[in-house]
Parts: sequence; structure tokens; C-alpha cells
Amino acid sequence: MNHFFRQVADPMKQFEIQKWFELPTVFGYDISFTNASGFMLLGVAMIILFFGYAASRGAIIPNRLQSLGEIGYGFVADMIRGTAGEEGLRFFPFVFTLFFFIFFANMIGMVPYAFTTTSHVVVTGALALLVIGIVIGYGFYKNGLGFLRLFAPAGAPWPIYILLIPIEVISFVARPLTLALRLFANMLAGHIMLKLFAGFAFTGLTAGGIGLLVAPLAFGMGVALNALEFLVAGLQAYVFAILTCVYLNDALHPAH
Amino acid sequence: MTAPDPSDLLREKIAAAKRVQDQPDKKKRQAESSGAISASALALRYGAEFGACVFVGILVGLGLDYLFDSRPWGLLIMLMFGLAAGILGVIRAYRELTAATNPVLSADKRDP
Repeated sequence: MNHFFRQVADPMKQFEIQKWFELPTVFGYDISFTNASGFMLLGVAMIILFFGYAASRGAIIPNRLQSLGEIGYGFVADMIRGTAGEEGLRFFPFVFTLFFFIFFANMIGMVPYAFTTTSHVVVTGALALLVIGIVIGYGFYKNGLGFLRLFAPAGAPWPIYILLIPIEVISFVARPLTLALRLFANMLAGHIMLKLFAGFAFTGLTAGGIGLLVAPLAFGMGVALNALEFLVAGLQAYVFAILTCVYLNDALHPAH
Repeated sequence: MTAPDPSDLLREKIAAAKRVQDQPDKKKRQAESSGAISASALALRYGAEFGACVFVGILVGLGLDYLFDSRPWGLLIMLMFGLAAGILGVIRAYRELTAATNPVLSADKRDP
């Protein structure tokens, strides 16, 4: 019984990676199928099912699911147009996938007992490196060495460049870091808070005495935090996608 | 009397929805609510921007020291650059965020 309570109160327990089934190591890497892999796969499956269904009819007067799909499409397309211009639309499939992958991962994380894949820095870091890899690759492919103008904004007297170029390089290198960190930290902190307040409510009730006074407050906070976390789940997916667009815009037009 | 064409009905509905959507006070309210939601998200945004730049500065400084055996000068100088980049990052983040909600600032959005 005591063991059960300790498990309820431990807010980090939910982030533990568990192997669902073992696979042989490849080049020394453990590639076992874990709960993280499982929930990522679930997210992808849900996206495919949702958009597959939403796009299957193509009716002039859409039903609810179709119009949700259309809103999602329009939302991402407008986001790209607003930040990277019409040219940015060639990255539409990438940004769209990225946005909905993160959005679904965050939303699945809001279901009790589900695992939040985006609360692991490995996942968000891999996504951020993918984004910055595409920015660098496409930037050099499209502009050649002109991409390096990104680090030297035009119109400054030359001694300033000695200061400016290292600063710009550092802020460029920091981009994938902030991108990964923000999503990861938001999801981690939010889920710890949720678990903590839910734990307070539960232990307050069982402890009796003054705990009975604390429990309703903690429960109320938990409810409010739950609403906030739904907002954060959407907002962070949006922030990740829109910053991707901003960075892609730099690859398209390095001299701003 | 003939039954109205369904596509005409739809067109009317779309026009009505557009009128509601374009009302200025609704847009304003949307902007306000999206600006007020996320004080913590804002703090995290600025914090991550600043912290990551300083962190990268420190890493580059330590790397240079390791390569050229120049302790502590690489760390000192690159830390300065990291701090500067962090402040620049915060200013840029502030501009991006205010440009989206503030029409006065969005006019000079294209400045560096």
C-alpha cells in the first residue's frame, strides 16, 4: 500500500522510458521498441487516419471532420505565407507534418496514463536538428556561399563586423537549442505540475485534518492547470512550426 | 415557388460568416486574448533565447581554449559575445511578438 502511495506522488515516474519489446542491438545501439516509439507511432497513425478520412469525401459542403481538416490545412498555409511568403510554400509538406506531429504528440500526452513523447529532449532535439539541417542545406543549395550573408547584415561599417559576425553566428547556433528546449521544457514542466497538484489533492484527502482543506484547493488548481496545458499543447506546436517558418525564410532570403 | 439552390444558400452563409469574421472588434479581442494568455510562455521564450545564446557562447569559448590552449581568454571573450547574442535574441523575440499584435510596430517589422 505504502509503495502505491509513493508511486502516485512521484511526478517523474510518468517520464520513464519502458521497453515494450526487445530488439537486437544495431551497431551497439539499443533499438528496442519503447513506449516513446509506441506513442509516436500512435500519433502518426491518428494523423493519417484523421486526414485520410477528412480528405476522402471532398464534398462542397463539408461535414465536421472535413472542415476541421480544411481549417488545419488553411492554418498552416497561412502561417507559411505570413512568415516566409509564397516561396515558402514549397516547404508546406514539411511544416504541416511537423506541426501536426507535435500537436498530436502533445494532445495524446494530455490523456491520463498516456506518454508524452515531446517531454523528452531526444525527440524535440531531433526535430530541431532536422529543421536546422534543412535550413542550412537548402540555404547553401539555393544561395551558394551567399547564404553566409545571413551572418553579416548589410549596411554596417566594417569594424562593426568584427563584433557582429560572432554574435550572429552564436545566435544562429543557439536556434536549434532554443527550439528544442522550449518545447521540451514546456511539456515537462506542465506535466510535472499537473501530477504534483493531482498528488496533493489525493494525499490531502487521505491524510485528513488540515489536508481536507488543502485538497479542494489543489484539485481546483489541477483543473485550471489542465485547461492551461491544453492551451500550451496547441501553442507550443504553433510556436515550433512558426519559428521553423521564420528560419526557413532566412534560408530563402539570407540578406534581409 | 421553387426551392432555393443549395449552393446559393451556402454562398450566403459564407458571406455572412465572413462579415462576422472581419468585424474589427472581434479581431481586436482575438489579438488581446492571445497576447494575455501566456505570460509563462513568454518568460520561457525570452529565457530560452537568452540562456541558449550564453550557453553556446560558453561552449564555443571552451572549445577555442581547448584547441588553442588559451585559457581563459577564449571563454571570457566568447562569453561576452554570447551575452550580446542573447540580448539581441531577446530583442528580436520581443519584436516578433509585438509585431504580431501591435499595428504600430508591425509597420517597421522588416527592420533588422
